[in-house]
Amino acid sequence: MRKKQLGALLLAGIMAVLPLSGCGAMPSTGNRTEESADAGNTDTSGDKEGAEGKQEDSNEKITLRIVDWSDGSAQQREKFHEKYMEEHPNITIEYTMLTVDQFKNTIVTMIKSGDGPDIFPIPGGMTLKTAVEEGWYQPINSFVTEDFAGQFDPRSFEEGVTHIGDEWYTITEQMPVIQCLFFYNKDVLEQAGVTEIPATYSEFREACKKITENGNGSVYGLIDGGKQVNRMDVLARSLAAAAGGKVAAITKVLTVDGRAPYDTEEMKQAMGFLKSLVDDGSIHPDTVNISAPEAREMFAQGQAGFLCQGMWCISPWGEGYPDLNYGVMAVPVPDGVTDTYVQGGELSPWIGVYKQSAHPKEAAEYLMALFSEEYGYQSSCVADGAYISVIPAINEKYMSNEIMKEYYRIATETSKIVPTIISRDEKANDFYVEVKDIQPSLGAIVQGIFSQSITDFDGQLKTLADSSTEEWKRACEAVGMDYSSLEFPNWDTKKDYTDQDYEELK
Amino acid sequence: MQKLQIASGKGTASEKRRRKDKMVMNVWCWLFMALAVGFYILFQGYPIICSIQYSLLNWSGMTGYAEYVGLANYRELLHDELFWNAFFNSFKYTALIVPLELAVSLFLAYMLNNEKLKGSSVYRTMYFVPVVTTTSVVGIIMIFILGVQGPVNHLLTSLHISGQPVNFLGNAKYALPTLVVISLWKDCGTYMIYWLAGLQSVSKDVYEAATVDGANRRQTFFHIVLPLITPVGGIIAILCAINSLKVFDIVKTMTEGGPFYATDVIATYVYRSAFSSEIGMPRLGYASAAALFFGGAVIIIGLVLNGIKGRLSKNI
Repeated sequence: MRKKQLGALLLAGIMAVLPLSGCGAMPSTGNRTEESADAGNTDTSGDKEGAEGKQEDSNEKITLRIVDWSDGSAQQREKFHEKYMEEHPNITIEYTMLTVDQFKNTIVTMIKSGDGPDIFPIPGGMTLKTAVEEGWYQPINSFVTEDFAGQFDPRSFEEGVTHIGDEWYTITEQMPVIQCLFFYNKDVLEQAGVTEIPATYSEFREACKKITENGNGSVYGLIDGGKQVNRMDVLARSLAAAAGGKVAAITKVLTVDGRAPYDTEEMKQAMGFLKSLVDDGSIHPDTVNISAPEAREMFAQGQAGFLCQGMWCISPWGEGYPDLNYGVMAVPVPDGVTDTYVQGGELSPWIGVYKQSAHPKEAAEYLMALFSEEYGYQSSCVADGAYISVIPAINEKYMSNEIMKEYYRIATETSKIVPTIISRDEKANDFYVEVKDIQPSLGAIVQGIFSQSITDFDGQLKTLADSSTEEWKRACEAVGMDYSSLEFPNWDTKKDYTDQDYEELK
Repeated sequence: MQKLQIASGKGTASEKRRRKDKMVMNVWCWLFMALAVGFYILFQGYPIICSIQYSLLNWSGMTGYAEYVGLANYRELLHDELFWNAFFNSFKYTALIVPLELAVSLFLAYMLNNEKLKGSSVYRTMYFVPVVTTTSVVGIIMIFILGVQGPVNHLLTSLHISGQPVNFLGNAKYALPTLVVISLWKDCGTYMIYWLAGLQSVSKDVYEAATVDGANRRQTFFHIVLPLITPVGGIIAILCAINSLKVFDIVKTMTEGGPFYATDVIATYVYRSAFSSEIGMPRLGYASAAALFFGGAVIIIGLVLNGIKGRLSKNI
């Protein structure tokens, strides 16, 4: 009996200890600053030396592992990899394209196990500072040439996004352009007798009504990827900004009169506009069930007159629907509102070189090739209308797509740079790590309006504004940041927010 | 006295041998189970223990730093309306699908268990095909089939069953029942196989005796076969309930928990909390607390129901 008990105890002990023995990958619960500093200060000289040592043998077979989520330029990337491997027979590119969620799920495990890819992007929600402190990236300054840095648009470099001090960590994928303009199908509009491109809420509503009536259950006014809450969020923010409201860019935070600006008059106007489209039956009924790429396809098939998305649609349409007769227009504004804005695209960090990469030099060479004219990746992306390159010379030479040019023109004319708390206060990095997401979010509320699950959107907006204000105050307090840093009293929405404006607030 | 001692001595020797045999048997048993136990520890035990630790942390899952917050995540859950919405949706989904799944799969199994049925193996394969089809593929195809301009709505409007196309997945009223129907179609092949195994364990003599006694097919089923296979049914019900409570893939593929959380179940809630966020970082710690809370709640509900069942059977 005693032996049995002992045996049972031993087994229980083994079962308890075995799982715990694997807990080395668990997070530390020590002091945030010290932990971060430790991670950030990990000496990489050994890695560099090792890498340099390896360079001595130029014929060494090397596999570069690259992971990202750039599906908008997948074809161009594939061609680039083929060419790169042809030119570098000793290098094999192992490229994995994931969705953003898949990437978030896997990257932490890869890094924790010391097996991160050589090149990978920063997942949304994480700032460069946090990523560097976590030991994810290493500076690329010493691996790239001065010429390489010199060819970039100076606006594509930003402290806290691509650089920390003098250290260059990430390269941004493209020049920031607004993600929300309205595409229209010229043939659908013509068949419905819509001759003028709508500019105001009432004109847009009228055009959608005509298209829907003429469509007889097959064609609707507006379609969008309503299953993707982030797309709905962009739509709401852009409409509210175009109505004259002070609204932060997507995933960002700022306050107006000390509150989260989710229940402002302009936001209510924007939501009211979307609800009126729903009430008219002008929204494609599948909108709630489909993702943005599915909406893009259905728009191209002529199932709707309008679609609210970004420049990334142009390239796939050129490939899959070369006969699609379409145009692009600005975000509609409330009747009588003029001289307004939408949030300008924000520079976001993209890919960098893994701190523990065994081949940082080759990884940096890959990056140089990716952004060079010679390998054709940038030029094909620009020529196909995928995006505006961060290399101005390439844009000048290859931007030939008329719709892309029109998109860029409207984007430049209508968008304004909005203030960000990261540019104002370094503690904002900690704020974004600390702050909790409030649900139902703005995007979810739009989804609720589209699915007719919400009738009282005013109440939902007020709850969101109240809860967000409370949470932002808590997060500010937790990281020792002044809550008033979220407020930009000198922000004039009719003008770009400049460095001088930030200076004024100091 | 001498005899007794000898007897006792013999008894000790046989006792020792019995113990030894038992021990050897135990060692063999553990040896055979070792692989399964090892896998259990690695892929179930370890993640569960990690989850318990994570649930006590304020941790995004993306940084190396985490703050110990005790039971704060659990306290927050109690006031989280969306968590409770997902919690009840999981049970609603289970309550809808389990009886349907059991009934439909049993019906199919009983039909296919008929020896006189020609080509029964073809039918079995046919009903089993959806089971081996990837859920994401099923999801994508079903979104098209059930779409406003899809074939189902085309049929409904052509036959004047519905004047307007039905928004099966975009309308909060219909979205969850639609998911139930699709899951039913996809999974009933599995349960049909279980039922078939149960039905085939019923002796042919029983059927023959029933026929001799003049029972028709319906009477044979309800009064003879069903009582005999009820224990198998209990196990199938438990398996079905467990699978339904942790439903994820079909919901994720088809509705992402929408429209406006109408089909949000615990698994999608946990996934969303753990891996995505619109502002700031995701919350792996909070998501772990939600998963454990739900798991604990299911165990408690199971124990209470078991207790009630025990009392009822005693009273009967």
